[in-house]
Amino acid sequence: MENVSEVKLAKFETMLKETCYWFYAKKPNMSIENTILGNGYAAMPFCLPILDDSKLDNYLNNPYIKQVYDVCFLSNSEIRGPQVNKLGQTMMNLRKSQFCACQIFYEANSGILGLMQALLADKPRVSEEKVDFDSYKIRGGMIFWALLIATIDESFYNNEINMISDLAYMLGFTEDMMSDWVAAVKYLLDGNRFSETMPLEFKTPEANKFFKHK
Amino acid sequence: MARKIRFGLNMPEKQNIRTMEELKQYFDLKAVLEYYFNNKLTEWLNDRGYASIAEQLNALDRDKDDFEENVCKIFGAQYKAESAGAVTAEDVEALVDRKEEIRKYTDDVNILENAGNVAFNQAELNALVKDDSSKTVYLLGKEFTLTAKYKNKTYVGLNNSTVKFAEVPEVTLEELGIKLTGVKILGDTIKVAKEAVKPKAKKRRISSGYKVSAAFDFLLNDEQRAQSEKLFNCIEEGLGSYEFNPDIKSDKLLNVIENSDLKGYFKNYLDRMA
Repeated sequence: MENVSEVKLAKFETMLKETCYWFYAKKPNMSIENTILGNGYAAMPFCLPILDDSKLDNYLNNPYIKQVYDVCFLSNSEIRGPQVNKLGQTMMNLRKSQFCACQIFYEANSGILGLMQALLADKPRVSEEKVDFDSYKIRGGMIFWALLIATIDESFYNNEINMISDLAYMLGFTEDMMSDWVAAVKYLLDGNRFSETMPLEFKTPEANKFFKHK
Repeated sequence: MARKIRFGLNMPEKQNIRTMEELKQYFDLKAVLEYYFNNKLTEWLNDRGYASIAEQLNALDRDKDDFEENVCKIFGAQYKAESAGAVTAEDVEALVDRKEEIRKYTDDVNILENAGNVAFNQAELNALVKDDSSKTVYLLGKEFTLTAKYKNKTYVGLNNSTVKFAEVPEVTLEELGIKLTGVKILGDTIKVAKEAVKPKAKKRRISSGYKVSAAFDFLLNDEQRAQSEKLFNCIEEGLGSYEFNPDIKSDKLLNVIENSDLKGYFKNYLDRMA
């Protein structure tokens, strides 16, 4: 992996955060510019189930993948993914329940103290509280970030797309949905941003709901 | 006093000629004229005690039509008028001048011997690229415009010439068989050159096919695995040839500037980026 400048990583981080806010902001109607006032976004409730620690360590040597993990996934013990014996139950809950309780990544609490903490913090911090999000947002987010990582790193792609397809199947994805999610990943990485009026056409109502909020 | 090292002359059929007999035997008008115009023939003759011959040569009028014939006479060689059209003193003198100019930038014998494949300006380059036998074209000038129309060409800059493409080809330079070395690349060529350095692969990623993942091995039955494989195929179809470019927005901005009237204002900056 070539050396990646801080500027490039900062731009990538901004893109990730903007996308997270678009997908599953704690207060969806609040503009991103006002997030300093206490908005935040859902932290993915568990990491991708990569059971081989050495492979995961290698992936995390890629600064872009590390960035995705830092910004989108919980960085505590769940970084290795859920325990295998919990995985099935977790998937079923995520698929069948309307809501999924997630911790929140937030830039700051409101008020001057929160602002100072935000300025001093290296990474977004995670709230102790959990907030219920629509499960479709979390399902969509999990697969979206998994696919995005697959585009970044060839070894991840070569080793893990079977895991991504298994995970997607468990979360109720169809082939058309997968095509839409793949198209959306490329759309974002081609330098575009998601919005209600984005020109990308999707095949499935699930994609329109998740990416266009329609 | 240091002893002077005497050099030999090279004729097409004999190298390192050191005697008058050998020179007469292997005489080649073009080669002799080259030595004449770069003054090495006079030196060679004087070194070997043929000062009178050197004087005869120097007494010749270069501008006269029979100059080439008179050179042949001095060396007792037959002047072949019918084939002499290919060798004129004027052409040889121009070639010697070109070599002297090239020698300011390189001592590479291959390049000097192929001085005819060195373009000093755009007109010469245009003529050279049309010639199928010129696979390698050397560039000696400030700026050149290249074209992707002529495939399988290698362009070698001798003085770090700036090059740009008249058109941005749809395929990579590698696919066109075009190689660029020793040149500074400008404008839309940035995109082309990047692709040339890193060829665009039709299928960038190669997976070994679907196999249930370790994490889900115990959760999925055969039918479910078959469904998962369909999703796997969707991913492969969509992302197999996709290339992640974290600079894509910067590149887009660069192209906008390049194609706008603002290009002049940013020229120095773009040159540095190139």
